[in-house]
Formats: sequence, structure tokens, C-alpha cells
Amino acid sequence: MARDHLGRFEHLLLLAVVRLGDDAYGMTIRRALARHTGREISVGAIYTSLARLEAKGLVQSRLGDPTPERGGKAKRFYRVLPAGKKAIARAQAILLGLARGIEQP
Amino acid sequence: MNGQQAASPPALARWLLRRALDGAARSAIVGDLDEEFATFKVPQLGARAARRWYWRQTILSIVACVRAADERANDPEQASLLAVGNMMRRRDGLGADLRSAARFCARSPLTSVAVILTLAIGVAANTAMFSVLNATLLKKLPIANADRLVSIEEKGGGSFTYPEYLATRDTPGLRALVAGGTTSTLMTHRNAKRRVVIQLVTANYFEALGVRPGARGRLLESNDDLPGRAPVVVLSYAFWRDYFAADPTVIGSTIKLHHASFTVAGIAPDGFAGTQIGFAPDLWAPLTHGPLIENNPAMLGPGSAWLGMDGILEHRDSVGVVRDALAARWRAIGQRDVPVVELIPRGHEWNTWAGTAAGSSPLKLVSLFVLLILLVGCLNVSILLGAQVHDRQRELAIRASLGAGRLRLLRQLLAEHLLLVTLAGVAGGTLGVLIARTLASLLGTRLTPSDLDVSFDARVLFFTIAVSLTTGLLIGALPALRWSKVDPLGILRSGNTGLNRVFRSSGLWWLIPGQVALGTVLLTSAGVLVKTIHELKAGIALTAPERIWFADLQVDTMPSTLAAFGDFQANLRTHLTELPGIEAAGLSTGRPLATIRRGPLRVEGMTTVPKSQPMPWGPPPPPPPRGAPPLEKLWIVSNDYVTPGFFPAMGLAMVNGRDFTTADSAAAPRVAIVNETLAARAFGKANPIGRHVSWAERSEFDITIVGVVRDLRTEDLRRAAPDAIFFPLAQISGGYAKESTVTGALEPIDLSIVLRSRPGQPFTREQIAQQVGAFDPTLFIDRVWTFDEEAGLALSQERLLAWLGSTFSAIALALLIVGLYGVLAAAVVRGRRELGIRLALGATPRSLRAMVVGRSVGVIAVGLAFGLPLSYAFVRTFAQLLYGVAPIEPAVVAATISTVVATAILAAYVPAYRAARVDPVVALRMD
Repeated sequence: MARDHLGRFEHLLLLAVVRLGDDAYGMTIRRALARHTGREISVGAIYTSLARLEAKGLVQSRLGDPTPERGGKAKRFYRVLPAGKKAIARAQAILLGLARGIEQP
Repeated sequence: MNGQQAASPPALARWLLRRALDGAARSAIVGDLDEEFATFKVPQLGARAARRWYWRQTILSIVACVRAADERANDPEQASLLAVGNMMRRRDGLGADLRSAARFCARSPLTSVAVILTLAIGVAANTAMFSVLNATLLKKLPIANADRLVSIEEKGGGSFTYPEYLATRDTPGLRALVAGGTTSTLMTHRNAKRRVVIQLVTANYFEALGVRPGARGRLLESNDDLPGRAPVVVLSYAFWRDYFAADPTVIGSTIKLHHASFTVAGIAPDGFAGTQIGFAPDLWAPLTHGPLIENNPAMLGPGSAWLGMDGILEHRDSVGVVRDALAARWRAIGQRDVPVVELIPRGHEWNTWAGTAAGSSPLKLVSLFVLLILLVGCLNVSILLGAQVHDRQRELAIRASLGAGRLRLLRQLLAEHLLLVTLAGVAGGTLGVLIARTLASLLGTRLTPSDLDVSFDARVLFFTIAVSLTTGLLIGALPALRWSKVDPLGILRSGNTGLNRVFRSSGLWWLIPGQVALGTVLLTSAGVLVKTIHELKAGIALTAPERIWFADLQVDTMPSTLAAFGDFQANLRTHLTELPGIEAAGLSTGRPLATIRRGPLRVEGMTTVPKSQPMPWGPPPPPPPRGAPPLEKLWIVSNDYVTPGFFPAMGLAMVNGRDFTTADSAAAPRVAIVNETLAARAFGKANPIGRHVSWAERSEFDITIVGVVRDLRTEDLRRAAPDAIFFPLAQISGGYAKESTVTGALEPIDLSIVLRSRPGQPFTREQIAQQVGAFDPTLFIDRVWTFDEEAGLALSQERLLAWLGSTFSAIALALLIVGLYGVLAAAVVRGRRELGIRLALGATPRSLRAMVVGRSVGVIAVGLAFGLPLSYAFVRTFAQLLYGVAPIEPAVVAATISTVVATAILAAYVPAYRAARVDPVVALRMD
């Protein structure tokens, strides 16, 4: 169902959150995505997509401690829930299945 | 050095983020951006690029959040844990109100269009009016010394002579004093002729006002008025552009004004048109050269008062000093009057339209008219919206029962009205600016060419917005306040109301009488203005004025002697009578309603001098003869030189005595014809025929009165005919054309041809021009007019007022029909049940019809009862603009009442018809 299907950006987001582990919050996610995709992605887009994923039950967020360099604002850390990991695996499988047999350039 | 400053993210971007985003997302996003900005971006990219990055993130993030909020709004299932929102997207925000308002307006397009149109008319009228006021009273003059410009006048309000100017110009406290007067003459340039308006000014005029010379040539310089200097003129930019097609070679070339040559020194800067708003001369010339243009050497002497004076103060606050110094100086030169010195930072008020401060001016009346029409519009819109809100009470009741508070409902209703008013404001503002342009050109007359700068500026924009918003609140507040207080239970339960309750309770019933009362005021005003025109036209009292033609003639090469001139004019007249379809033809030196010529008259045996009429505003009056006593001790009468045929052509009958004949030549004894007014004032009931008078400097009483002609209001249609005397053109030597003149030759005379066509045999302008050209190709015809056109011009102000009054009345009546119809129709629909019961109980359809019409007429009667006294009070405020009409004119009142009542019946007809067709069975079964 559509509920289970990941968009491309959501897929990348989930991967980034998994990769970052305990340090996954807005800025680090943004920087990781920017580094790997080579594109400047807005924090707003990240948070809105994460909010969507959270609503789908794929990720979970918690508030961290405020730090001085953030102007006293708390970080919002994310971690991927088991449902999220399943969704990543499913998306990965779809990608691999589709790519199988195609010559890599 | 500015690392500290550069390290902080852009404040505006942060502010934007905080405004646009909601709590949780806001703090997370701002925190992330700040952190990345400080720890990575500034060290890596430098402060500037980092700030750019921050801005980009801000904008992209806001876009992303707004988009997400939008998706969420469309998919309520997607309840978010992280509240990302935007204030524009809040469901209960202003945006939502406006969206729902737009939906509501689209649902009832007819009402919306009616509302917008009604308001747009009101806003347009007010914007147009304000544009004119702005141009006349608020805009600053485009000169450097505008804030220190003062007008210098006598308390009695007369003009000054040139010697008075010379004696006044170095008054302490004044940096400079300028003087000027206006005249009009024919200009000849490369054999083409054109009538131009000239302002004769002192040579320091441009310098004193602070007008900087443009790139084209020079302006007048202070020695241009010294004797012996070659005559020069400065063209206005508009005249140079329009008439000379901005030809730069005009500068330095020679033009002829009247019959004297002037060199074009330069072009005034674009936008400068003198100190009198709404009046723009074509060119300026030093006033010391005025005698060449006016053919009048005495105009610079002590007997010719024709100048207006403006001063430039040393300091803005030295008005009192100047006034005292002037008073002392005037006393020293024998001037009696008290000087009035006034700051005029915005230029002289527009003389005919702005009027005097004390009196009622047309401008004020028009302002009141536009205010009235806006009020009528507001009432009407209130009625329309009120009726509509009434219909929506079910919807409102449902919303209220679902938890919308009174404030919420009020806000939604106000938003709807705001939307309508905004649309109306935009439409009305645009229309108003267009109207202002038309109005400005209509307001100009021949003597005061209109040059009002009514262009749209910030002030007009602000005014339009203010008017629209006030209007919106006015119309919105009443129905909104009333209907936001819904009683959901009552409405949802009962669902219907009786006819009587609707009639009485709707609160609209005091709006309709209000509308009627204001409409009555407009109607009566229009009525008395139309009657004024009628009376003024009736006052002309000429038979078939449409058959009278005038042609202004300039005689370039005059016959060398007076005898030859006598032949010339006699031949010209004979030639004109050969024109087919002509009934009578004559020549004169003046033209009724146009040229004003006056001079001193003495009557043999008369010891007391009747009071003369004051000189009207216009071209400089002729000077008194040399050595004559001062003007005020003489009897100043209107005069003209005419040929035989002039009176028949004008349609003026002889009351007594005879008309001039060809026998009254230069060689014959001098004769004169007087009008009835002069005859009565000079001789009372005695017979004036055969009495002797003296004209001008002739001391002997050598002119014999041979006839008395009927009166004609020649100068001002509102005033009784002036004292007038006529001399034969052939005998002009006695007064007008002196054989020794400035140039030594016979001075040219401008003549007017007066023709009367036979009934049913009209001729054309071209025929007249051809006939004159065939007689002498060097004669130049300036203009050809009919008397009707001339009278129309003289009445242009009255006609404009009457037109505005009538148009606004028609609009008010149309709005009244719309309002009444709306209320009655709604009442009949809502009162179906009651109507059904009545029918079932035996009422006839006829009686129901009568009931509805009766209600309508009853409401109208209440309105009239308030409106008529209000009209009386209103009309009295502009009584000075009226002529031959009482503030309560029975005919006008009767017409007003019958018009309003007929309107009421008309508006009630369809609802009444519907009421009578209610099917009792259907009506009772409903609900």
C-alpha cells in the first residue's frame, strides 16, 4: 500500500538517520544528505519529511539538550523504528530487483 | 574587524522564520540553521556566503513547511506530531476568512456585482473630486520659493497700477515683488495665426519665483523691461511642445503679437505654469511691452489698475512685517485701502471654482454631491448585504451551534465586506482618476485655460484607500453586528417568520428612509440647478439665438485713413449680406458675452453720477483718457461701435427712435443709441431721443442720442443688463481709433461679424470664412461661433453642476429601486406563510398587492418627511449659485415627490405581484 511505499527522498532520509546513529538530528542529517547527493537541501524539507515518516510510524524523535551554538535551542534527535528498517529493506529490495541484470556503466 | 557582526545570522531571515513557522518546528529549524551557520558555514565559506546560504535555507524551508501544511490540510488523516504550519494557512486565520469570503461572493454574483458597482461609483466620485482638490489646494507649486510666496491684495480686492507696483517693490521684509496681468491676442508666426493667452509680467518674475532656466534659451531677465530693450517673450513648455512641436529653432525667431514683433528668448521649464493653479498662459512677456500688445500706451500709467502682485518673503515669518510696511507705504502714496498679505504656498486658488472662502463655491457643492452619493451607496449596500445576511441566518446559526463564537462570525462577515470593498476600491479608484482628467478639462473656460495637474499621486492613493476602508466598516458594521448575534436555537427551530415581523424587525426599514432622504436632497438640488439654467437662458430673451453667428476678425492691414476705413467696413458689410440665406449682417467692435469694453460717459444736464458696475475680471480695462478725472468719479458704461444691421442681426428691437443707417458716416453729426437700462438711469421717464452726451475726452456734448434699444445681458447672465451705449462704427474717430497712435499709423481694430441666418437656411463656418476671404484675403477669421455656443460657454459651470446633480440623482434613484426591491422581494419570500394564511382567510390578491405597495410607499413617505427639510437646508447652502429659484421651489418639490413615489411603486411592483400569486396551499404546507 501507499502507506508502506517510500518516496525517494524519504528513502535517503531513513538511510541517513540509520547511518548517523545517535547523532542524527536536523543539521547532521542535512549535511550528510548534502554531502552524498551533492545538493543543497533545506532544513524545512527535512523536518516536514521526517514529520511525515514519524506519522507513518517509521521514525521516532526525542528532544536533546539545548547547546549554546544553537542559540539555546534543543536538538531534535531521530532514530529509525523497526518498521522503518523494514521499509528501508523493502525499498532496497525493489531497487536491487529492478537493477539486476542491467550493466553498470 | 567585523567578524563579530558577520558571525551572526541575518536578523531579518530569523524573524521571517519565527513568524512563518510554528513552535516545535521553529525552534528545531532555527537551532539547526544557527548551529550549522556558526560551526561550518562561516569558517568554510566566509561570512557573506554563509549569510547567503542562511537566506536560501530560510526561504526554502518556509516553502517546504507551507507545502507540507497544505498537503496536511488536504489529507486530514495525516495528523502530524510535529506541528509545522504557517500563519497564512491557519484554518481560522485571515486567509481562511478571505477565502470563504471569496466563495461567498462567487455564490451570489448578482448581489456582489451590484455591491461592487454601487461602491465603485461612490469611491470613483470621491476620488475624482479629491484629485481635483489635491491639484488645486494641496499640491505645491513647482517653484523653488513656493513656501515663501505671498499674495498681496487690497482688502477691497482691486488690481494695482504699474506706478503702485514701482512704489511698493522695495518694501522691507520682501526679497522680491512681482506683478502680472493677463491678456489675449492673436499671435502670428510664419504667416500662421493663433489666439494666445499672454501673461504680462515684471522682468524679475522668473528669477524672483526661483524658476531655473531650462536647457532651452533663457527666461526673462531683470533688464528686459528697461526702455529701449528689444521686446522678448518666453514660451510655456506646453505651448512650445503643442503648437511649435518642440521645434528648437523657434528660440531666437520672431513672432508677432497683435501687430508688434517679439523675439522668442527661451522656453520655460516643463511643469511651470505661473502661480495661479488651473491657469496656464501660453507665453510671458515683460509688462513694459504690454502697450505694444494692448495698443494702449496708458496702461502703464496711474489710471490703469490691472496688475496682481505676489511677493517673496525674506523669511517665512515676516508676513506681519511686510503687511505693516506696505500699509505705511500705501498711506504715503495716497492709497486708502488696507493691504492683505497672505502666504500662498500652494498657489492662488482657482478663481472661478474654488471661489471665495466665505461664499459657497461650486467646488464645495460638488464635494457635497460626491459625499452624498457615497452615503447613498453605503446605505444601499448595507441593505443588500443585510438582506443577504438575513438569508444566511441558517448557515450562521449552524456555524454558531458548531462552536463559532460571535467574534468569529463577526470577523467572517467583515472579511466578506472587506473583499467587496477592496474590489470596489480598485475599480472606483481607477475610474475616479479617469473622471478627474475629464473633469479637469471640462472645468477650464476660454479665459482660464485649464491646466490642472490631476495626476495620481500618493495622496490620492491614500485617500482612495481611506474612503474604501471607511466605507467597508460603515456598511459592514451594521449588518455584521446584527447578524453575528444569532440565536441558533430560535432560528433553527422556527425557520420562518411572518411578513409583519420581517417588515418591522429587519432593521432595514430605517436604511430605506435614509436612502430616500439623501436621494431627495440630490433630486431637489439637481432640480434647482436645472431650473437655474432654464432661468438664465430665459434671461437672454433673444428670438432664435441659434440663428445668430459670430466671427472674430483681425484686420491686419488697416486702411490708411478713417474715411477709407469707413468705406472698408461698409463694403465688407454689403459683401456679407450677399451670403445666401442671410437675414441681417452687421459689424461691431465687441461681442456680447465675450468682449467687454467700457468707458466714461457724461450726460448733458446730469449732475449726479449713477453708481457704475465694477470692472469684471478679464482683460485689462481701457485706461481713462489723459488728464481726465479719476475713474470712480465718472460714470463707467459699457460701449460698442456697431454698423447698421447689427441690432437686426442680434434680434434686438428698437424701443424708441431709430437704428443707425449708412447716412451716419464719419462726416455726419455724431449719434448714439443707448439701451433701456442706461436710458432709465440717465433720463428716468423722460424721452432720451435728442438728448446730448459726451464720450471720452471730448468735453462738448456733441453726441446726439437717436435711439433706445432693448436690453441684453451681455457680460454676465446673472446680472441685469449693463448701462450700454452704442456708436456707429463709421464714427469711430471720436474715441477708439486715434489718428496719432503708438506706431503713427491708423491702429488696427479687431472686429466681430454678426450674422443672422434665415430660418431653415443654416450656413456653415466655411461659407462665412469663404465670403470674407473673397472680399479680402488678408483678413483673418479667428473663430466662428453661434450665439448658442457662446451662451453655452457662459453657462458651462452651471451646466456641469446640473449635469453632476442629475447624474447623481439618477444613480440614487436606481440604487433606491435596487434596495427597495431587494428588501420587498426578500420580505415577500420570507412572509409566504402569512400571505398564504391571509389568502386562505379570504384576502384578495388585489388587497395583498395593495398591502406590499402600501408598505413601500409608506416607507418612502417617512423618507420624504425627513428628506424635504434636509433638502431645504442643503439647497440654502449654495443659494449663491442659483438664479431665479427659491430654495423650496414648488415645481421642483412636486417633481421630486412624484419621482420618488413613482420609484417606490415601480420597485414594489414585482414583489407585490409575487405576493398576490402565493399559493396558500403550498405556502402553508411549507416548513
